[in-house]
Amino acid sequence: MNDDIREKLSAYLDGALSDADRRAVEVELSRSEDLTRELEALRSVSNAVKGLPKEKLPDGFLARLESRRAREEGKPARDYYILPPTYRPLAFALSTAVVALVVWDKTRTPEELYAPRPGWDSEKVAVRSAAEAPASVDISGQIAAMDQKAAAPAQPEAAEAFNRVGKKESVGAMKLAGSSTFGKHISAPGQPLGFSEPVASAPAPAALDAMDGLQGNGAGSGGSTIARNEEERSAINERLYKGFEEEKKRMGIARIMDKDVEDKNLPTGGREMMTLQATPDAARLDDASPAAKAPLRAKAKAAKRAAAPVKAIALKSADALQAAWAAAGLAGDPPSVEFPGQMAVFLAGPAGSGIVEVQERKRFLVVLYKDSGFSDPSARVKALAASVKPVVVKLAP
Amino acid sequence: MSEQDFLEQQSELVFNLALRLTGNRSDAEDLAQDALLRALRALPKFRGDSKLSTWVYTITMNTWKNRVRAEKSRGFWKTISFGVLGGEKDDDKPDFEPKGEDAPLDQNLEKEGTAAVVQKALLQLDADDRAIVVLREIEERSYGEIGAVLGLPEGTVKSRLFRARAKLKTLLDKASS
Repeated sequence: MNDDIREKLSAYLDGALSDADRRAVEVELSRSEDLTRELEALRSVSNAVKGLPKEKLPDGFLARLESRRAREEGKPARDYYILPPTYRPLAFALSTAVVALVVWDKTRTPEELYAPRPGWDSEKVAVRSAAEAPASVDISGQIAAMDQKAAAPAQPEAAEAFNRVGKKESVGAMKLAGSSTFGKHISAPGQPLGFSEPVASAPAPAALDAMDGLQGNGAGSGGSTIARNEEERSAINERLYKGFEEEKKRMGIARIMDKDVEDKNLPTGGREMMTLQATPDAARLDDASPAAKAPLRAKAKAAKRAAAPVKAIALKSADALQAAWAAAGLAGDPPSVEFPGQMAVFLAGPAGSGIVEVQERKRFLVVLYKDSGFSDPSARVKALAASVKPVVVKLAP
Repeated sequence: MSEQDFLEQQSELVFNLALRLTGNRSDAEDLAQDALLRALRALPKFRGDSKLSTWVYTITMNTWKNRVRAEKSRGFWKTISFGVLGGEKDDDKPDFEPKGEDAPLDQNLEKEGTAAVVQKALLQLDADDRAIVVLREIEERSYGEIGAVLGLPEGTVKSRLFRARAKLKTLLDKASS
């Protein structure tokens, strides 16, 4: 019995054969008991399926259908997010490929990574292991060559181009006239783009020497504070430092401490705050003519040199107070201060000096003192509530 | 035809078809409502080129096929995720068809004996074969109508119906033994 007959047997059961095929099947059925049994088996299967009972609609089916219909009206006909289901295998394949690429790239050795690729790299790259690498690289020769190049006069065509074009076009003109040095020098000499004078090269060292470190050296002065080597930098720093010291003397500032100086930095264990002292002649100096200032300034300087320095130290322990007291050469014991809730402000000044008043300002503690008239040395100590504000010492009016 | 008349005529037919296709009432109701909502939206465009019942069956079959396809896709991702995570499936049933939370129809019909066995065997056929058997045996559609509903040539319907019946016979024999 072949499949063709069997397939026709199924159609025969349904009455779906042509007359000729039906007759052919009936002939076969009359000849073969197996085929007849096959037909009966198919019929029984068909009857079994046909015998499945019809079901009634569940209770409330139509009501639920109506409410669902109302709910879904206006809702976009889409039951997926981001990607339709048919695109998900593609997305999965792409993401897998990306992961595989990353893994492959991570697993390549340095030799594979830097190996020359035919048609891509024009030169071979030598790959050395860490053991073959030099311990240090001497680039002093390159730096010396750079310094020599910087000291040499600028290229004439570059300077000419700079003078010929306007200020806005100067940078572009420089680029056209000379070859670019971008990225070739670690600390190439030059000037900021905002300079005003059309100078094509850095100023000569002589010009630097002629400049006062305290005068305005901003963008309009040609950038003279730009040092070209270590020697020039040191010279500029020295001039700045001298000028700064002179300015401090003129303002009567003896010493300015860093605000973050810790207590342990002082031998007394205390903390030295900003010590300011205005000279009595300062106001008159401002009003006097330049010619009259010289003797006044000389007198003030002499008086300042003669005057003993006055400092105030904020102390936060009894030992520190005792040490400061002894260091000042004072007899007896310092007055008692309730550490650590309190701190002691100790005045280190000439004999007879003492604290008149301590004013608590918003940002400072101002210690007003007098440099004479106090016979009791305990006047040098003032107990205050512990504070972290800087202490400013001023001569009481 | 008004929507009300349409629902009164077709709802039960669609529900029974869905019931035989899905095998449980919960999924059957969901599928039937989906199909009927689509049919209601498309009803104004129905020109009467075919019988209304054939048209509705076609919509129901397409809705069910879409669901089966989506479930197959979900089953694929589920297989992938289980494979990657090393987990195990929670059952050994085929995972490519919707499964409602209520008991399978064959369990509900257990008292009815043969019907339960037949329904269980029916659910073991693949989707297309099951659709052909249901349309032929239960809905008593001609080969031509079945071909129109499923988009298959009549010859294909004929051969697949034969194979489905043979497989059903094997399954029923196995169940009875």
